[in-house]
Amino acid sequence: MRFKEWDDYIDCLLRQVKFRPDHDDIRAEYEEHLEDLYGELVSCGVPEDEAAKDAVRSMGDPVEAGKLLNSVHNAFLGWLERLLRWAMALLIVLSVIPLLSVALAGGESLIGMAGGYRDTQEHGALVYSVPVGESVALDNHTISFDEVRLYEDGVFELRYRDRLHLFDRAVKWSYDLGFSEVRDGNGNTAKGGSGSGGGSFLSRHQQYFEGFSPDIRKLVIERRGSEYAYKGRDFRIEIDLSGAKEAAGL
Amino acid sequence: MRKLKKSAVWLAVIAVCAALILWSMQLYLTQTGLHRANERGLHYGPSEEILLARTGERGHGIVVSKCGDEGLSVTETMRRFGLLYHLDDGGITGYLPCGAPAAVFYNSSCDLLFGIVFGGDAASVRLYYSTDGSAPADPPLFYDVVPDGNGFFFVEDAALGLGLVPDHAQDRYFYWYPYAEAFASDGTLLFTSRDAR
Repeated sequence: MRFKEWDDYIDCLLRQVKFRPDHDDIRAEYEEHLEDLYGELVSCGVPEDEAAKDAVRSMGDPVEAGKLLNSVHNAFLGWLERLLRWAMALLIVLSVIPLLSVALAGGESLIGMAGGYRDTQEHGALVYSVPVGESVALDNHTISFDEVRLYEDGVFELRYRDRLHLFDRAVKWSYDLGFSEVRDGNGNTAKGGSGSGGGSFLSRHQQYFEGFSPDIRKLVIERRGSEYAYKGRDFRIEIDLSGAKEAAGL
Repeated sequence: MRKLKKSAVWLAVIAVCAALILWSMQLYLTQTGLHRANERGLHYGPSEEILLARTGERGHGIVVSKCGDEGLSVTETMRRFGLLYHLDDGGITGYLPCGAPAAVFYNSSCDLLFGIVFGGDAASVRLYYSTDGSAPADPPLFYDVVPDGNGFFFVEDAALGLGLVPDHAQDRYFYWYPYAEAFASDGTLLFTSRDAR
């Protein structure tokens, strides 16, 4: 329902409000008020033409009302709010792709880890397995050593997991324990090959090494910082293998 | 007031989104911030002192710092979205073992020649380009350099069409000069690697 008087009143009022993007909302709000008043007057028996004019009159001076509205609908705040809303929408759109790629990488890590370590028959039957349960923190990585295994052909296997700290701001490089860091109790260094699985955030590693006596009593995993690399990041883990054969009934 | 409250909420959402984008894309606000984060990711450092941070053409940049007694720490950076930094694809990044008495490098992305002399301050360097490392090609290139007072020196706009490394003139490259000599301001020879041939 529209009357010319109403449009004139609202147009006059809106001329006082400088922030134009709010005009539609203000117009709708005032039209609703006028319709309510009009309805009440008509229901009291006032003729329709009179009711339309009375409704406008009861709204007061449009210039004064417009000035009051202008102070509430501050143009600076209005534009600021709009600008921030657009910026927010843009950033939400822009963040979808990188977040999706992180989510996919995380999913890949979880799927890769769900399968656990891969058992192998390549080195014959398992002679013994010793749980380790030690962890070291290395900048944005936590390395968890799970298990040492000895196989029939004398090859040892070290199983460990690498967890990348999700919210650490360090650049995300992968981590692999070097062979020079694994020694027997007599200081002999390991040699061999390795395999890994998982993904960017979580990965599991299986390092096979040979050249150690199957009777070694101790395995040492040690990383010593050099003049620059790993400086201040030393760690040493000693794994007691004495009694492992006996426990396996050998 | 309603708009002010809304603005505050949008601002908070913007901050969260921006942080998520920076985090997920590994973007950094400063070149040196990226350099430090890279050192930490590669498990060395932090290096003692940032010696140089430059951004060259097409957003490629480099940060050099002194690391330990015989090395430099280098991160090649790439500018993203105009004001953020990311690790440059295929750049040389990490610890550069220089060894005494000196080392000279050239980074084509920033057209920057830089190096370090252990135990002296170079005022000029003479470089001999070598294609295969077996013998230096003549004629040598001679540069006046800017020393920092602690052995480090650099030259900006080093190539300027001179073709420091002619074979790679069209590529992005990072070159270590195996044959170089450095001179003090009075002309004294500080080091020469020609003898090590």
